[in-house]
Amino acid sequence: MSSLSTTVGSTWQYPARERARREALALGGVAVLSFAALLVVLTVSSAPFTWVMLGVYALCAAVFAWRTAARYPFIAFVLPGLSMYLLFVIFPTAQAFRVSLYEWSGIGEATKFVGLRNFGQALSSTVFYRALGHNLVLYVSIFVLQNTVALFMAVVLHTKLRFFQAYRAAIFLPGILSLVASGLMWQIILGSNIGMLSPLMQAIGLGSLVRDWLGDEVVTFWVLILVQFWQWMGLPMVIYLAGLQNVPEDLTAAARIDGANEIQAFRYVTFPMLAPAFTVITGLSFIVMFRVFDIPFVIAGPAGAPNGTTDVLGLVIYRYAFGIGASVSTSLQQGYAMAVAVVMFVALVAATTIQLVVLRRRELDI
Amino acid sequence: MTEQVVQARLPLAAERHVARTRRPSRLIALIGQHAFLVFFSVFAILPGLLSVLASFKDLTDFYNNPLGVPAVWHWENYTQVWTEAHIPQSALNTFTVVVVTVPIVLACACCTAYGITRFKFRGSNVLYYLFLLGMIIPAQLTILPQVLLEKNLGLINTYAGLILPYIGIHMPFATFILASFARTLPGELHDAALIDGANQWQAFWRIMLPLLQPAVATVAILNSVSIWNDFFFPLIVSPKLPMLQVAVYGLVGQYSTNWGQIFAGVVLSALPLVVAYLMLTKQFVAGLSAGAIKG
Repeated sequence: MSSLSTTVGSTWQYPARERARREALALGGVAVLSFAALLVVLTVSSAPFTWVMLGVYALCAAVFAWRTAARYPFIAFVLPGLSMYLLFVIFPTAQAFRVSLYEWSGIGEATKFVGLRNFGQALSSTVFYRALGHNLVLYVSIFVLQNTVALFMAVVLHTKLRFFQAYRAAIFLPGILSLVASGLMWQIILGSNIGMLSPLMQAIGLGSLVRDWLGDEVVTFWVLILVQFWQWMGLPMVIYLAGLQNVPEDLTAAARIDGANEIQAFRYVTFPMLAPAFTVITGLSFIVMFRVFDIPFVIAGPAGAPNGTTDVLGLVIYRYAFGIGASVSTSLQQGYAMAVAVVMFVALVAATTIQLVVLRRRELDI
Repeated sequence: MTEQVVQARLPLAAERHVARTRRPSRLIALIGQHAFLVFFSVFAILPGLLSVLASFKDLTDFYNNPLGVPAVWHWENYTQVWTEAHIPQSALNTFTVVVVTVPIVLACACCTAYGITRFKFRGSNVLYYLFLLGMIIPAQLTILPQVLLEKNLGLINTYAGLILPYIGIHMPFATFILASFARTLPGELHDAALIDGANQWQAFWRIMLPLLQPAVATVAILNSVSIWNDFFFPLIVSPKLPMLQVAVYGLVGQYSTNWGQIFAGVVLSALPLVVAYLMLTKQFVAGLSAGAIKG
């Protein structure tokens, strides 16, 4: 291990340095071992003993950080956050991978090892592909809306017209609402008993176009896309807006002087300069749209009603892990749910990495 | 020769531009732009406004007068929800969790960001990408093992059962924003402090932390919002220690078709965030986009 050492001319101190390095390695080893022991205890045992192991790990980590603070200060800085992250996110992720290899109802220990059977089941079921297809359509639709409507909003706002702040504040507002609030709020417009849209349409003579907005096999999925866009249209807008502020004005002015019209200047000068913003928005919305859960859940319910036409992968996992509604029953297939989640996660990591590499290269090309 | 041509064309283009701004087509474009933005602003806030209106209605208003303002403003919807539905208690619970969690996340994430950006050690990049990975991990993948973990630690229905996992869950995003911000800061200040005899802790506390302040504000706001709004995690790990969103969702069961009370609860639960948002719009919006672009 090397570190940013500020000691100058320390070659003659070699034995002391070597000793410190060995001590750090030994203490680090002890800390790692105690962490591993903690994880094992957490996998198999219950309450009081786990806290003892947690205390043992905390002690080992503290000694490790304390003794190495002089030579390897980064250890003390990184360790607290890293420990929490490993314990509460990475460890559960690893557990999910393990559970996906078992047939398990969620009660007691997972003992019936079935290998890759859950994966085989998932990858050969029509429900899985139907949900995946919906995720894809959702992503493409949101991608289009973000790069037309949200981009245009940013471009218009960038001209610094009046009420700039008010428009920006209003359009971003849905992003801070909780899913419970926004789900109920849309009930009041689209719901079948208290919705305002249908009476309004009847009042102005469009009664023939009224649908059961939240329970129609065709319309509800597009309502879902609309609500999804509604809640998060502010984010791509402000990201593009920040990107536009980085485009030097002389560049577009130069293009205009060279005879480009407004649209050409945007197409060939401004938009290429927005490549970093485009990368962020595309990557982000890909991740969000493939693990989407909240809005389909509140709009259409856990079954992807009606008739699975609004089903997405997040709902499939939820149904197998928790059943319809949040009550835990015995007929659950946790292993299967985790297998679907693992497939989703692996695909997300792969696709995101590829996207980022391709889009970053595109940034450089431009 | 060519220089002359360019010089001759410059004022021409400028003149054309001036002429264009005075033409009526320019005015039409301006009106169009405003109409476009007004349309989407209304689209954005209409569901919220209608909910506020609905929260003052009683049941007959919903059916007899779905589109208009309530005939009588039923303030008692609010008093009922406030006294009967555990809204104040659950809001206090959620507030407690936010107030404890966010400073700990910030402390941990600032230290981690400092550690992985200011020291080049073997694995510093690996750590960075490990934290980045955390932003991709779907909640559906981890929620079930997290529940088991909580059971084994005896944390179900406790404050710690929400606070400890939230620290871990919010680390990736916080670290990502803070680290990408820290990378843009000049390293010289920090090096100068070390040469002047400060130790690493002092360099972090007195030099790094003040410089990180804008990013810290962004992360604090976004983490608070996401914890305040979180629904599924508390629903599953703390059903008996009610958190705000769970309590609001519970209104649907409690008041079944009394939509006035339900929307009063919705408005109450969103009000603190909306007020904070309207006062701090710049911090909410600008911080977020700056963080996104730098990453």
